This record gives sequence, C-alpha cells and structure tokens, in this order.
Amino acid sequence: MAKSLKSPLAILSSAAMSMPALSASQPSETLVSVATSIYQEGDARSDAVAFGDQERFEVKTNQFYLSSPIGRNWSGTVSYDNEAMSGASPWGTIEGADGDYQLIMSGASIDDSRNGVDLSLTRHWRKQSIGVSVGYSGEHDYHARSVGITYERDFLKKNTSLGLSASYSTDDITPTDAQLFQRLDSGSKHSRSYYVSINQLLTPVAMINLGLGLTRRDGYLSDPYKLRDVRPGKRLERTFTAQYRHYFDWQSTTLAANYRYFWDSYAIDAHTGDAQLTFGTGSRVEWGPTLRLYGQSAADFYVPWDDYGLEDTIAQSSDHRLSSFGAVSLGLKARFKMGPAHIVARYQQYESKKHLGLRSKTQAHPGLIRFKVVSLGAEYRF
Amino acid sequence: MYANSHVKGLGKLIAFTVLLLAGCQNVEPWERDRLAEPAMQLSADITGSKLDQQVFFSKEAASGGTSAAGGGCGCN
Amino acid sequence: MRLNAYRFTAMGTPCELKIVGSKRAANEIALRCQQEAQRFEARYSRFIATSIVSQINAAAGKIAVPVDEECAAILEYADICWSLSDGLFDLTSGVLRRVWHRHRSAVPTREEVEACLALIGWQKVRRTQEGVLLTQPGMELDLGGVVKEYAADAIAQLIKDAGFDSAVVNLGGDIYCLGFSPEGVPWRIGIVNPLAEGPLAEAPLVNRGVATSGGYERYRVIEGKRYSHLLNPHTGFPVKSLMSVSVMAETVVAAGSIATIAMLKEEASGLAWLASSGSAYVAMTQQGDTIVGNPE
Repeated sequence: MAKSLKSPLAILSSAAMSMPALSASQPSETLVSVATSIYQEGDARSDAVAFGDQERFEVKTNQFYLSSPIGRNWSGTVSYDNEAMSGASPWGTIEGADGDYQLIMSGASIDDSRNGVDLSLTRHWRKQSIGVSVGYSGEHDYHARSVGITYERDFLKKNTSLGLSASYSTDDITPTDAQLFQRLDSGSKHSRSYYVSINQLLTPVAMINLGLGLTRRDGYLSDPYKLRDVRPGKRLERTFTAQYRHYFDWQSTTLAANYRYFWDSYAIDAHTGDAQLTFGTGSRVEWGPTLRLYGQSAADFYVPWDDYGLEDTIAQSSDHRLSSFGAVSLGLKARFKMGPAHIVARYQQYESKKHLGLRSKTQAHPGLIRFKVVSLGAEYRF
Repeated sequence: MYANSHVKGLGKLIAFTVLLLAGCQNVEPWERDRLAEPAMQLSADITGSKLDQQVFFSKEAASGGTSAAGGGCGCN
Repeated sequence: MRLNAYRFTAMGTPCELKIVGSKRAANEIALRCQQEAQRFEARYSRFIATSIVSQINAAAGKIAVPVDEECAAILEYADICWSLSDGLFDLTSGVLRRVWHRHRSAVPTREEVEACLALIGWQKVRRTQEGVLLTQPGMELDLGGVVKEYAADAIAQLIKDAGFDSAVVNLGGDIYCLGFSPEGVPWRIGIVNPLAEGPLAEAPLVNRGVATSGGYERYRVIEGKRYSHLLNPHTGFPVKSLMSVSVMAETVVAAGSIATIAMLKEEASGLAWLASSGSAYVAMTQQGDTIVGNPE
C-alpha cells in the first residue's frame, strides 16, 4: 500500500465508509443554483451587410437548478431556463460587387423568449444507478419535448465507471409570418441519441473520461427563416470526447482539459478543445482562465451565397454555421465561497476566425460572429 | 471510403483506450481526496456548462459530446 | 418521545440499545437490530461451524472459500489495519491462543511459540476472485474484534435509516451514539476506569462512536506474573502496553482499530500512535496515569 500523507483516522474512516452497511451511493447534499447572463454579439460590419439591420443578436438568460437526494436511495434534479432574445439575424447571403459575399439581415428585430424545463429522477444502488429524465423547451414558434434514460455502473471500487444513456426528442416548428414570407407552415423533427462513456481514475490526482455519442435526426432540418435553406431530411452525428482532470498541489490548481471530435453525415468535421485552470481549488476563492479552440469544415451542401437558380428540392444553405470556420474563445471564471453560499462570475469572449476552419476553400462568411457573455450566479448547498 | 477511414480510426481509438485503462494504477478510496474536489468533477458548474452548450449549439455546427442529446430549440 | 431500552446477548457479549421514539416503532426496530446482531454472529463467529470464518479455517491449506461482498469488505479493511500497524494488527494471530490459553501454568517454550508463529502472517492469507485461502494448514482467522465494532455501526445505520434520530447502540463496550439525548444535549458515555469506581472520563458524543481496548480485564497470571491477553504476532509474546485505550471517532470500527493498534504496541509507542492518529482518545498507562488527546 502506498504511503499516505493522511492520518490513520482519515484512512480508516474512509475505508469504513466503503463497507456495505455504511456506504451511501447517492449524492448527500442539496444544491440550489441560480444564474443570470447576457450574451451579446458584435454588430456586423457595415460593408458586410447588403440589406437590413446591422444590429446583431442579444440574449438575456436566467437559469435555475436544483438537485437533491430523496430518501436514502433516490435523487432528483429540476432545472428551468428562460431566455429573452432580441436583434437581427441573417436571412441569406448574396454575392456582392467585388465577389465578396454580403448578408441580407432581417429587418425588424426578433423579439422572442424561450422557456425550458428539465426534470430527472435517479435510483441509486451501491454500484449502479438508473435515471430517467424529461424535458420541454418552448418558444412561440418552436416546441421540443424529450425523454431520456441513463445507466451508470461502477467497477473496481469505483476506479472505473461505465455510463450508458439514450434519449428521444420531438421538435415542432411553426414559423411566424409563414404566409407573408412564403415560409413553411409547420415542420417537425425527431432525434434519437445514444451515448456511452468510461470514467477512469488514473492516479490520486488524475482522471479521464472517454465518450462516444451517436445522434440521428429525421424530419424537417432546414431553417425556415432563411430565404433559401434546404437541408437533407436526415442527419447522423457522431462524437468522440475525452475529458481530462488533473490536480496540482502548486497553488491547489485544477486543470480541466477537454477534446471533442465531431463528424456527421453533412460531411462536417469539427475539432473542439478547451482548457480551464482553476487556482485555489478548495479554498475560499477559486479563479482562473479558460481557453477554447474550435474548427469545423463546411457542410457538403454549403454554398457561399444563395443560388435561386437551383431547384428548391436540392440541398443548399449559406448559413454561416455550416461554413468552414474556426473560433477562439478566452474567458475568466471566479468563485467566491462563504460557507454554504457561493457566488460565481464568468466572462467569455469569442471570436470566429476563418483561418481556423478545416479544409476551407472559400472566403470568410460575412456572418461569422464574435460575442461576449457575462454571467453571475449564486449557489447554496445544504 | 469516407466511412471506412472513420471506422479504422475508431478501431485504433478503442485499442488505445483499452491499453490506457489496462495500465492504470488502482486508486484506493482514501487516496481520492483531491479527486473528490468539486472543481475536479465533470459536473462542476452545471449551470455554466448548460449555458455554454446552449450558446455553442446555436452558433456552431458541432454539438453534444457529454451525454445523449436533450431537447432542441429554435436557435439552430 | 420516550427512551426505550433493550438488552440481549450476541457475539458473546451483552448488548444494549437505547432508542428514542414511540414504543411500538422502537420495539420493531430493536427486534431487527437484535436479528442483525445475530446474523453477524452466525456469519462470522469462529465458534459456529457454518460461519464463513469457520469454513475458511476448515479449508486452511486446502482450498479457497468464496466470500460475499460484506466479508470481502471486512477483510479489505483488516488489510488496511495491518498495513497501518506495521503488521501488529493481524487477524491470523489468534492461533497464539493455543500456547497462551487460560489454563497454562507455565510460560510457553520458544519452540512452542515458534511453531505457532509459522502459522501466523496476514501475508499468508490469499484473497482473490475465487475467494479466501489460508495458505498453511492450521492457520485460523479471527474476525471477532472487527466484526463487533462494524456491527455497532451497521446497527446504528439501521436505526437511522428507519427514521429515528436519537439512539445509542452498545455492543459490549463498542458504542455508537446517534443524535442527541432526549434532553437535547449530547449523549454522555462514561469511559470505564480500570483502577477505581466511577468513570475515568465522560465523552459527549453526537453521531460518533467510541471503542475501548483494554488489557486489564483479560490477562493471565503465570508463575505470579501478569501477562496481557494481547499478543504481539511478530514475537508471539504478550505486549507490555498501555492499560486501556478508548478512542472516539465517526465510526466505531475506525475507533476500535485505532484503539486495538495502540494496545498492540509498547506503552510509549502506543501513546505516540494515538497522538498521531488524528483521533480523540483517553488512555491509561500501566502506572495509572490518564492521558487525554484531542485533535485540533
């Protein structure tokens, strides 16, 4: 047995807690968390906009989350989110005078709000747990309902854990002003998603989690608010994720480093990497920087500008989110602890960059955005 | 051919994973105090993660990666 | 809310329960507690032929005996105690009883002791997927101490899970106090003074356990000299340890292990062990001095 810095009492006490009659497998504390945040996109450049409002998007979000043990063997969570959105959004892209692409922006501001509720209930046993969840998200033109199930199993005294989950959701869209703008009346899509993960403790200070995900979407997948946006009626998405955590005694620092590879049937490949350092882990003030790098290739039906000559049954989209681009995001996070109450503050700045895109052949899409998010939250544990 | 190269890549990944996990040290329960720090958990800051996921989902083509997909929204 | 008291015998010791609540509910849970104590005895007593311990002992030198999760966890815990005590805490050392039993009139010879030592050694116990194997014929496991202390914790957890928040479980001196007493103050448990009437000290306990290890009650007198019943598994001879040790901790089993290990060491090492253990304790030396320790 490796020599430990802990006192004999600490070692024996935690060993005692692993004994069958004494170990509690479900979470032992109740957490209530609220947060409010503002997301603000930078205005589109005037030379990038052919027509319409330059003012871009803003979203104010309020979040509520509660998780609690229920009895000795159960636990549950409730979350509620409310978003208030305003601002203009690109309707399409046209070729401009010098061969550059330019945006056609929606005229009037979009003013919409979204409310989402998610509930989950989990039953715990010593080495495994099963959970079910339901969720609903509603905007005045969009409603989504989902159900999910999760299974987790521990092995080797919890050195290794296996997780399996599956979910099904149905989304319905009834675009506003459908008649006026000759948009689709209504459409729906169904998504089935599966996920498997392995969590492995590597050393007393390091842990890794590897996951594979598969999501299949069927139905109306196009954006009805764009002037010409036709997407295939099926989409298969795959993800591989690695999440690594490491604790350093120097300044009680925690490193969280994550990588995701995404590839789908739209021929999009995307790499996402993010890292976060937290200094003062476990002490009254925890703070640290975050960095995120993202790069994606274009969808195989992506076009730099809308081609109305093409039949409207043929897939095409000039949505910047399907173009080849990348992004860098820098942020700062701080947590202040006062006993059971914590205050959490976050700032993030995101900048899209054409040259970080994968296999990019074309010019930068004028719709590439930059944004800032500021959020403030409070948590209470008991 | 597109699909094949991905399957091969996945095969290599799974082999790598099995080897990685086979070489792991066994961490005893009383050695886990640092691993148990909230900042070390995948579920640290659930609220912040949900917000990030929502933001990136609506601005990028890639999504998901940490669980089975939940419900959607009109944002993408 | 009334205090209901119950007494029964299990694991070879007198047991006592104090449960605060309605008489009917308390009676129900007390019965379950007694049954659980009897289950522990039936499962782990080396005096009962069908217990898992007897099965393992009977198969010594022959074959591995499969064990369930609880038994495996107890043996794993004992392994940690063995490491922490540099081998003094050893569940195989019970065979020394054969040469140091009550009715001996002479000190055992070196040869007799060495013959016993050949059968001692936790490292000679092999624990695998197939089960537990004592690698030498004649080896014996004695889980008595650990199981009694663990049973006190398990029974207290049973009472807590049933919804009670005030109770005391006392299994022959291994005690767990749940919640506050009916008067609203911590339970006050008296630590026995081996040399005089009245308690040595009083420990106020809320959701904590206390376990006592003492050589004063069980010792042999051979040729006029007193020999402790606690035997050093390396030398085979009794230890000249503290007279008694009581340890307070969140679980009775952890408290008990710390106290037992202290008593297996020579007096000075025992005191040093207690001081660095991280626990609160009351110890009495052979001279009769009382030492009280409290972690910061």
